[in-house]
Amino acid sequence: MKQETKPATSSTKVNWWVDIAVFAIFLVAAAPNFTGIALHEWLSVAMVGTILIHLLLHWAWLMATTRYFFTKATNQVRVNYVLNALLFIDFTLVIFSGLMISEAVLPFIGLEIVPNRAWSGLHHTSSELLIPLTGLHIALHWSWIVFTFKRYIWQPLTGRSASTPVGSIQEKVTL
Amino acid sequence: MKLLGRIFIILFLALAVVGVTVSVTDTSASNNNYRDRSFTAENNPQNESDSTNNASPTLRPERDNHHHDSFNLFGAVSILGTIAKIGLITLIVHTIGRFLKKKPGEKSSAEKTPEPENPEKTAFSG
Repeated sequence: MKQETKPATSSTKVNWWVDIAVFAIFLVAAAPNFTGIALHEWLSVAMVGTILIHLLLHWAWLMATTRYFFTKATNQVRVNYVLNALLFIDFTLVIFSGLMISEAVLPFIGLEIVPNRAWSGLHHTSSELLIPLTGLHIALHWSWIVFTFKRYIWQPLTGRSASTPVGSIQEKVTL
Repeated sequence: MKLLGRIFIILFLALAVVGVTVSVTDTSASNNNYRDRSFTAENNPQNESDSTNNASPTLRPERDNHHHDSFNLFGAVSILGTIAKIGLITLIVHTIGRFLKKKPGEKSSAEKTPEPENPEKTAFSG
């Protein structure tokens, strides 16, 4: 009798879907002309949660890279780390400056802040910078994005078996 | 508990960024305010008291006239613009990356055993 094995829940697959969710929210939130100001603001607030999950899912990498940044880390990892740090700073600036000129979220919770040009300017500048930084972040992870899509999304749909024992490789190399 | 600690670390880092930003913004805003007041006082001494009572031009609220307050279907074009920009950057960087990785005499990617290219997982695998 053939024993059926239940596929284990893959953290890679979870990572992939969380990343897709973050990117989708980012795309919609970055188009206030499309959503209107209120939805733009609420989506940006929702993005804080998804970014938090994204960071928590990559916690092991963050800690290891922080620890070994000046010693063991390869140049590619260092570039990736610096880019991620810039992305984190820029996201924080965009969201915070956005809250400081908020017309929907802060009034909803009963806070009124008189917006000024400095916050408005900072919001626009940092959000303009966010697009190339996100592009670079995606570019550096493009191979992983494509591979994970093929392995965990496309292959199960088409019914083809995986060509590589990905799970075992990843188990071996997980920090 | 561990999870809460990690969340606090992330929020603390974000707070540090916010703190620096607020201090820089406050400094530049107060400098601009001082400059505006001095300028007004020099050019129009009788209105000095008015200028100190009212907010300076740099502190006036600004509304974005080009943003619609409600949903607008045609605004979806800007999503395509963002995707195009990100796609272009991805294409350029990925192409350059592949070009730099390719060494003469190396096997083509089809001949190699496919590996999961996960820099985050494989960074320190040795």
